[in-house]
Amino acid sequence: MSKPSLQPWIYPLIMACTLFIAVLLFFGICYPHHLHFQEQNQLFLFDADYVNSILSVPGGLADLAGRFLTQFFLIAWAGAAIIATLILCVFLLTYRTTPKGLFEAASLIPAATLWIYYCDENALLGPIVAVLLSLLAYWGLSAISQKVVRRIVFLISAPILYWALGPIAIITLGLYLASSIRLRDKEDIKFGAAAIFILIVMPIFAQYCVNIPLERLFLSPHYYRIITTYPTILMIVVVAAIVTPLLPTTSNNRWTTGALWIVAIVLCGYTVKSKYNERSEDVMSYDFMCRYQQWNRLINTANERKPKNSLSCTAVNLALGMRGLLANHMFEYNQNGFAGILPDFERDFVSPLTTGEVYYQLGMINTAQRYVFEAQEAIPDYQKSGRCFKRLAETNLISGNYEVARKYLEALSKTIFYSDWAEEVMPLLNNEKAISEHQEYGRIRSFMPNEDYMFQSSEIPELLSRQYNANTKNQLAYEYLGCAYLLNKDLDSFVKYLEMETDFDYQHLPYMFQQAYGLWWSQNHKAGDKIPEGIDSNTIMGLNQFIGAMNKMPMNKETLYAQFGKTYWYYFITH
Amino acid sequence: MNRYTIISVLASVIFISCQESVKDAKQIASKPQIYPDYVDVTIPANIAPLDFCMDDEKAELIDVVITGKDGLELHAQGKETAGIGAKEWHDIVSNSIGDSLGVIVSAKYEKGWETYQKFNIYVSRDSIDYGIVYRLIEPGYIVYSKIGIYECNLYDSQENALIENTEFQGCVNCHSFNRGNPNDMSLHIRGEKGATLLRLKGKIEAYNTATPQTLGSCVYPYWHPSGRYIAYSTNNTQQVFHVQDRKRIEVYDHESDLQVYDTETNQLLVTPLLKKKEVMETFPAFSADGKVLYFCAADGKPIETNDFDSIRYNLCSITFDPENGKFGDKIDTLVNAAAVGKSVSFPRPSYDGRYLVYTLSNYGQFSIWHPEADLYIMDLKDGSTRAMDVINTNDTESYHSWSSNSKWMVFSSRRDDGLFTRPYFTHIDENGEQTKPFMLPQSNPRDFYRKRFFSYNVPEFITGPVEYNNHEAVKAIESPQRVQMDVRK
Repeated sequence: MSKPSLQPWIYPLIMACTLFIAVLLFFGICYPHHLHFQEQNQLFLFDADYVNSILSVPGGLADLAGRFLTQFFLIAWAGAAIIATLILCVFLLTYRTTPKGLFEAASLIPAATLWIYYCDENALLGPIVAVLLSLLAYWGLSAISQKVVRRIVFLISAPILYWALGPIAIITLGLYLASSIRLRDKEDIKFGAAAIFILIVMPIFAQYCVNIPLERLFLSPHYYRIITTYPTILMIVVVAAIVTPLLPTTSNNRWTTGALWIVAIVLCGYTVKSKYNERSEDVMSYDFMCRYQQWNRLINTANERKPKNSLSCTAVNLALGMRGLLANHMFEYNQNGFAGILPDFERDFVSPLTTGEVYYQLGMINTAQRYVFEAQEAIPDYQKSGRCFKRLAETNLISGNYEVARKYLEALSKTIFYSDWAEEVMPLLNNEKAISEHQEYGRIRSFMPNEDYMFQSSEIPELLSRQYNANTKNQLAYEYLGCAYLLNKDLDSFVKYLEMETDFDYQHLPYMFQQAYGLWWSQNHKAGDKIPEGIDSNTIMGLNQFIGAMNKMPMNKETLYAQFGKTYWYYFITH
Repeated sequence: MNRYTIISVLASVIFISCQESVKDAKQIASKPQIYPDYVDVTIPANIAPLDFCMDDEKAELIDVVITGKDGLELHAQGKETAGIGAKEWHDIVSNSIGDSLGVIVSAKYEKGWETYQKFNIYVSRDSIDYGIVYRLIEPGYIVYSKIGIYECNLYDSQENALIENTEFQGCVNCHSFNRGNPNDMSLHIRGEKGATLLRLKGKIEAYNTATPQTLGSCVYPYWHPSGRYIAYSTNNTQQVFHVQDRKRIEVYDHESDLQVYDTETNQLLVTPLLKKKEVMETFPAFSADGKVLYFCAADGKPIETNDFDSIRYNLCSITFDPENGKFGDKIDTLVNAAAVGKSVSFPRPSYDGRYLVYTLSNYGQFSIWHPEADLYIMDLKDGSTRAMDVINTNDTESYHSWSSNSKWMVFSSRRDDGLFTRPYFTHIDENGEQTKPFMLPQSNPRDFYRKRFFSYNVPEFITGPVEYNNHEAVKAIESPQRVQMDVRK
């Protein structure tokens, strides 16, 4: 019987397939909203000026390609496929330069490190494109057979590669030097070192051409969204890609080699798992559903897993409000005071978007516009956002600033994914009738404030009261106002609020309102007073049970939560 | 015939042969509607080509024939704009100084060509300065993204960044020059590494302008004609937001004072008359002879009241002796705007001492967010004032600056789209009469201004290139070293 034989290509083939599928599934299933987040923080335009502005800075070509590909992240699986393909290509090209044998599993390091890098929502796509193009450039340039020509081409390519790919381009020249060292070709070593020297001094010259600090030109012209942060993890990618050709060629014991491949895979999987940020994915998922007004999906998601932070809570409350369920079910979900309905403004590029959606749906167009504008301005790398542009076009359209809306629409018409929408909306400009008849824009326009006053985030109930009084058909404003009183535990104002006449067709007083009303009545009624109209017997029974449980000593908080955690009463005593 | 002449002739032949002739054109009885509106404007000879688009955006081709003095003619044709050649433009304009250019526009539509009535472009005998310097900023609220100070050469509309906040963490604002002299420049940096950058005699230094005796850091600057002094306001400012209305933002002061910085002694010169607690003084501006300091003043309001819409500024003045840096002993009120329910901002005297232009709005001092804000001109000989009706619109007209020869004024206006501020130029003659203003020219103005999501903030004339060493400036910003200003006892 002959010994089982393993072909040398079997491990890398298995590895390549595994890597591609694993990355694809990871981003497609575990990280889809990270991909949406990436997309919403940029706006790729098919416009010569836009392209020139990117290409005119070091690393511009990689950045441009990265931005081009990132726009497809709007479709999460497309984004996952793009990242998986790029990582796969990096792996294959690194494997190509790695000596085969015992240590060939080291060829996984650059690709795996990049996968880890992209677990960070602020990691831009430019660097992986730069790595890939650097490896391709090395492949292409090293194929030049004439030594002298090759040396000169490597030398000349140094500044070009730097300008196109940024400092990561050192991979091309580093590989040239590494292979020269391996082949002990002294002339090549000299040229390789000279080419690297040219590339290293390039930022010094570049600083006189662009308004970017020198250290960024050296380390990360635009590899990371927070431009003042230099992702050191990319250095691992660069060093690993350059050093792997220098690894020793050893006897090809395929079983040992296979074991090392397995170790590499396990290490990679473990590190990715440790970098996986479930919490941020969760927040992003709520924001995504809010962006696309997927109110039912949002409520279902909240039913399956509790919102974990105040932003998600804001999104859930908005979804409940949009589906007319807020006053009946609000306290069945975690609440954290006013922040749960209208959080304070934060100077970041995430939270104002969700909060802005609430103001938009309430009809507070100026405020919604401000929040979206601020969120876009807060994008740390000065990029524009397709999501923000779209909303700014909408807010300006609704408020009748048609020429401003046109500017945003014109820009969006130069994109792949927003152009159809922009073309669809363009006829609404200056068309008052069409806007009034538009299901969403007409409704929101009718909710707009009918008098001017100054926005004060410290006066949320007053704000909502004015908003409701501006148009008494604004049910969201009405329910938000009631809920604001409840969240503030201001039952006296709430009872006055209940006295307001409304046109809404409530079958009964909403349950949360009943609970609050009952609580107020239990605190204020005199012996013999009748139970007010609107509070049903179940609510009274529940309230009595709650008071009974409260009076039991010692009070068991967990039991209380299990029994009453989804009631207003529980919120009232625990906040 | 040299090589270049042959090439030029060949290029012209190719160009002409590529042009479509205007055939069977329908004659339109009115002048064309173009963007920007350059119909019957007055221009300086040294301005970039006034290329334009058809306003309706439906024209397939636009054909322009410009006739100058001595029968000189310029013909251009293109798709979005006619594509007026720079050399031909400057040739015909410089040949027509003191005269007018006749412009015949034809536009090709689906149904064929239309030719409009001729309009004129008047070429003034008064030249304009080299360029303007402005800040480009998105018309936002609190958070800012990319901001920079830029200069634009008016001869060819080429823009050049002087400093951008991509180079450091912070915000740049309030650039100021001494009568357009690009060598003397004051610029504020806000943020963690905040400072006032002064370029005096070519050297850039970062100053800490806050002192225990003053309200805080220096804000709105104005240079003394001698170059020795710079008047600054110090303002304790708050920002609030409208829920409705085109104003969007309200910026107002709780308190503000004035002071003059002496560049020779590194001292701030103060007077109790400009530091009154019950009065808010702001927007200083020296007279042409440097002996009067104009400013705006309003009655202060208690901080907690927030009734910013009752704050109204008058135009006031105080004498100033440049010899010893001493202020006069009384304040004169030149325009009592508050009495008629109005408010003055940005007083800017012409450098020949003849006029003073200011912005008038309903209240407050941050007029850029006030659609009702208009420009007014005051005759400094007799103190009379009048609205500059030729240049005002229903939208905001706000910041303005005089050219060094006091014949041209650049001002910012939101008339283009209601939000993004653009610079406009008007000629002002010896009687204070203005000409129809024109927007800063661009080779494809619609494309350029549509794609520009920035406002032109504080346009200031300069008489030559600024040649600002941004590396030196950034070094000064990043360095912890600050020249501490002192207050003269």
